[in-house]
Amino acid sequence: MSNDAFIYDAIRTPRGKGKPGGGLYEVKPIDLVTNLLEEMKSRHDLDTTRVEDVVLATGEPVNEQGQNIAKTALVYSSWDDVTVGAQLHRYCAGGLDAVNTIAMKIMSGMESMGAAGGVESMSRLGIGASGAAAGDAWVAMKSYGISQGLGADLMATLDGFTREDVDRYACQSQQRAAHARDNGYFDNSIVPVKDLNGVTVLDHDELIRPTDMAGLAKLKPSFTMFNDFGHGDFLKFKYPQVEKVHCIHTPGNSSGVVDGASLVLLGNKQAGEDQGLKPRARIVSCAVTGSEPTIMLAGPAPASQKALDLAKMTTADIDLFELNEAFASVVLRYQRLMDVPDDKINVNGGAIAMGHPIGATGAMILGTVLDELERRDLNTGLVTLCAGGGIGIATIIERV
Amino acid sequence: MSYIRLEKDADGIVELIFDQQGKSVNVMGDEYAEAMPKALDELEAMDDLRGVYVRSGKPGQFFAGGDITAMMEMDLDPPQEERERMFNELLVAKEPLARLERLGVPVAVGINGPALGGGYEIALACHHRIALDSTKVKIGLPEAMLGLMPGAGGVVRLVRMLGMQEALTLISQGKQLVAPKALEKGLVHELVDSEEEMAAKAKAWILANPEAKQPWEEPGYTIPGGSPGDDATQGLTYFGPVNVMNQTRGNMTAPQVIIAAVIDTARVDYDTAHKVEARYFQRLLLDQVSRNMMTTFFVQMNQLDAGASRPGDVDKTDVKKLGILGAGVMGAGIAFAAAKVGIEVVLKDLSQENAERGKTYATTACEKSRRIDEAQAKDILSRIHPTADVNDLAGCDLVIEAVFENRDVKAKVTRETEAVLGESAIFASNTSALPITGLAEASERPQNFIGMHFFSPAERMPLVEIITGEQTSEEALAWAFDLSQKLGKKPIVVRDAPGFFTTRVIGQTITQGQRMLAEGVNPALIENGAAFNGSPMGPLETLDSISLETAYHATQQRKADAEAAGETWEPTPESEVIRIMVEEAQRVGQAKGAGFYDYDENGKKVKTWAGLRDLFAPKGYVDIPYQDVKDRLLFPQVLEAIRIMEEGVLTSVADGNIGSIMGIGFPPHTGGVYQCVNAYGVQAFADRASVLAEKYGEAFEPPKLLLDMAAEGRTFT
Repeated sequence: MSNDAFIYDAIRTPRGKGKPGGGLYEVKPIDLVTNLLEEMKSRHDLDTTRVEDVVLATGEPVNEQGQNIAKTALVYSSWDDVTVGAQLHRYCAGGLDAVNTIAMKIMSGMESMGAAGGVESMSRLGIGASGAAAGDAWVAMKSYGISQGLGADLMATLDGFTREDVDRYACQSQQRAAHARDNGYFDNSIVPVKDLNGVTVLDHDELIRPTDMAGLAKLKPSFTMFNDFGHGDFLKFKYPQVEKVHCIHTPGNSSGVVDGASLVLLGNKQAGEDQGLKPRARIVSCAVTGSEPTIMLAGPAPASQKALDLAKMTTADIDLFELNEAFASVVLRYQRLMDVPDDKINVNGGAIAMGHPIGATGAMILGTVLDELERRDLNTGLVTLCAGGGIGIATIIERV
Repeated sequence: MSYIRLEKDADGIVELIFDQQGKSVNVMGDEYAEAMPKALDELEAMDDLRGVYVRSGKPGQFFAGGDITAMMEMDLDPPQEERERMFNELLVAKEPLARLERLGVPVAVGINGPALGGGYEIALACHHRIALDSTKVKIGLPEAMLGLMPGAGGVVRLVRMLGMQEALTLISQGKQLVAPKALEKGLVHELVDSEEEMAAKAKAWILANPEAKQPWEEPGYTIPGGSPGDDATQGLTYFGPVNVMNQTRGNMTAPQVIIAAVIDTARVDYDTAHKVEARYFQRLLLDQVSRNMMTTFFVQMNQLDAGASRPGDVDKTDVKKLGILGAGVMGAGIAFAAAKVGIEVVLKDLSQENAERGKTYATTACEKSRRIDEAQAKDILSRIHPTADVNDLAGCDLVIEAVFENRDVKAKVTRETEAVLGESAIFASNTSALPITGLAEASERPQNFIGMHFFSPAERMPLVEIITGEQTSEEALAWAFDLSQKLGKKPIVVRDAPGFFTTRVIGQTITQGQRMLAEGVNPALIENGAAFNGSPMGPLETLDSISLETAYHATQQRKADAEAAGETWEPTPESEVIRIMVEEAQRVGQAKGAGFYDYDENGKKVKTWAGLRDLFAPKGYVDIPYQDVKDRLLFPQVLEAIRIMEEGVLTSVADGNIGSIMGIGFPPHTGGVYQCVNAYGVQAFADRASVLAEKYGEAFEPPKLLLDMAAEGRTFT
């Protein structure tokens, strides 16, 4: 590879509950971004004229999150006008894809330094706020899409995972997240969100809550309505071996709805040195892949395999895995297919406990695994997500 | 005289009169396409025009709709230039109606007879619709029933008039509303009692509304119920398409095209919407499934209705008094169906009590029906005469025997009934499988003996399979045929042979379902395979509903018969499946709440029984291609139907297509057992059958008739 892409830093906002009354509900999406831009600049005394590009993902690029929020945020912030921004949409994979995109620009030699991440104010712009090409009637009848949550239920049905299996996983996610928070594992990355007077609006992840199996068992499945209103039969076009989907995913074992933003600073060796920055890790490889669109959540394993193959690595070469906890069954399937033990994956919990701010998540969990590699003094991490319409994305990093 | 006459009155109102020469009904074909623009040219050139009154010149007949015969001649896969030409023609065909509604003067229409399809599309282009208050005046856009959709602005205008949801329901279900209902639903503005009153009201309205225009031309207009993207329509736009796919398993093109056209035309301005509608309509003109449906449900249905299988030289018959032997569910159902259409029915059973119970069936059915009011119910029930006395059958024109499927029982009732009947009375056996010629041996007058195979529930199922025995006369056939039609049913005619037509054909798919289960195929794949083929019920569910015990006892009887005759009896895979279910699992079907499926306390199916896997696939399900599963359920039915034709048991392609769909639920989108081969390609079908035969046995062996047809390039017509 002609140029290595190094990660110089990875920061994020705390995650606020994604509904009116949530800790970040009053904050405009652009302010989530500018808080991070200002922190990144001041933390490293960054000469922003040397940061060429900022790519930010969002799942709902409309209204106050609309058009090109990255460029608008740059103009609005104290960053130099020479830094240019782009908005990217790859559903839940967007944040990590932004990182990969900037990394590839650096690795190709076309750019030397850039930032990547994402933003999502789900409390202000809920899922579907920007409409959907997939919602077109004719298109829908030719593409067999179903509710994503029911896709998770379908996957669990096919794989034979039970309600107890997914609840047990969810419980573990909550316990791990609480433990990590209580021991300050996230402190290096979380940047408190401040208002225009410098007053702190939110400084901690809001969603983590005490959880036990008995409490989880009481929750009603979330996607039964979609099953009963037609998606339960529609999926049989693709899965005729299924008679009935077992609806087992609940708010307790699915990712939470939250607000938040993330930002990762990447650059080549020279650009870092010029600014006196110390690289924290190197991008080893990255990959995206399409996967069967009705389930749509089965992309992480093939994407990870693709990234591993590119890096000439195997599962055994990876110290820690970070797979976005879109739904518990996504992780359980991944562990089974990739042969990943419990103690190497999502060791500090994930989106079931802390929430999944769609476009921001990928870059967020990249920071989470990097922090943990440093804390444990391990070397390699693999970050992966599933995404809408049948997408898998993966990135392998290595500490330097 | 031309297709259209323009007659101006003293008030400056022009009557636009449709009166197609040489036809009893006006049709929207080439002649219309030529005449209508010329009429508009004339209207537009008049400078003192105050209004237009559109009407038909044919008493009691308004306008029939599009020219299906012309559509049937179109190439399904035309070259690029032809596709462009078709599209432009569709746009040109729509123009006159747009010009009519934008003449700048009020346009009223008088609907004096059925206004269906193209006829109602003309009415929709008028500003004010007046209909004759008559049950003969049916209004609607029924194109979907033939696999089509409205293509002359019907979708665009109805959506803008009634909103997406209402329009979708009316168009996709092809609803035909009688005049009062049409008024209630807003399809017409007012009803009148005579054609004279209609003209007077129309002209008065024109004079009173000089500024009239279409509602969507008014400032501030919005689509009733909301546009796509509005919260109010989210349920429709999100779940609507999914449900269309589920209801038709994706097999029917028209419902998909219709919902897309309804939504997409609502997204754009009015003129653009007409282009969008034309594109979707053209999609159906080029669609094989639509062509299948036009072939079977229009062309062949017309042949059947016109009596193609009825002896032409026998005068029309009319059963006024009908006897029914056996007041079970079948007999009672037929009695109800007959009483409903005004036939006096003698319903005989062994005891008065049983016969009365049969009449109760009709009483209950009347109470449940929303279409039958109290007075009608009284009338219907007064025509059913329950009795235990055979002498009450005297004077019946025709008697239908619906007793137990046992030769001796049938022979006995035949003899005792014939004794009281007149010489010319017809005796019909409602057997589903026993050969008619054999049953006729009990008859003194075998020429009057015929089979009339009704399907259960008889008052609802639309088919009658008529079976002629060796000695059945043409008169007997005519009587049975005419009675079936009088009952509102479609008669198909079959020569006597074991299983006739429908029972033989449906039996094939059930056998394959059982065989696949025995081989260890996942039962969900079998049942879903049938469902996605377009069958109303999977083979396992069908068996459950018939009762596994019935199948079991039939096999035991055959075994005993064979052994008694000193023959060896070999169980088949399918008989073993039944034996294991009945003897080992003690699961005998839906009636007992446990068969291949589990049933809840209301008898509703829950899921296939989990124990099937242990019994039939203990080492895990066998992996065969899903397409093979589907084809194993569909192909043998078709191949059996071809064998039946080869044997001369059935000779009419129309009867076979219609009988297979309406009698035994063969997937309607295929156009029926024979049309399905045409659509697949005769050679391709034979080739696929040969491949299946190699893998799955002789049931799939292509019959000689099929091979000959493929070689000669013939299709089933």
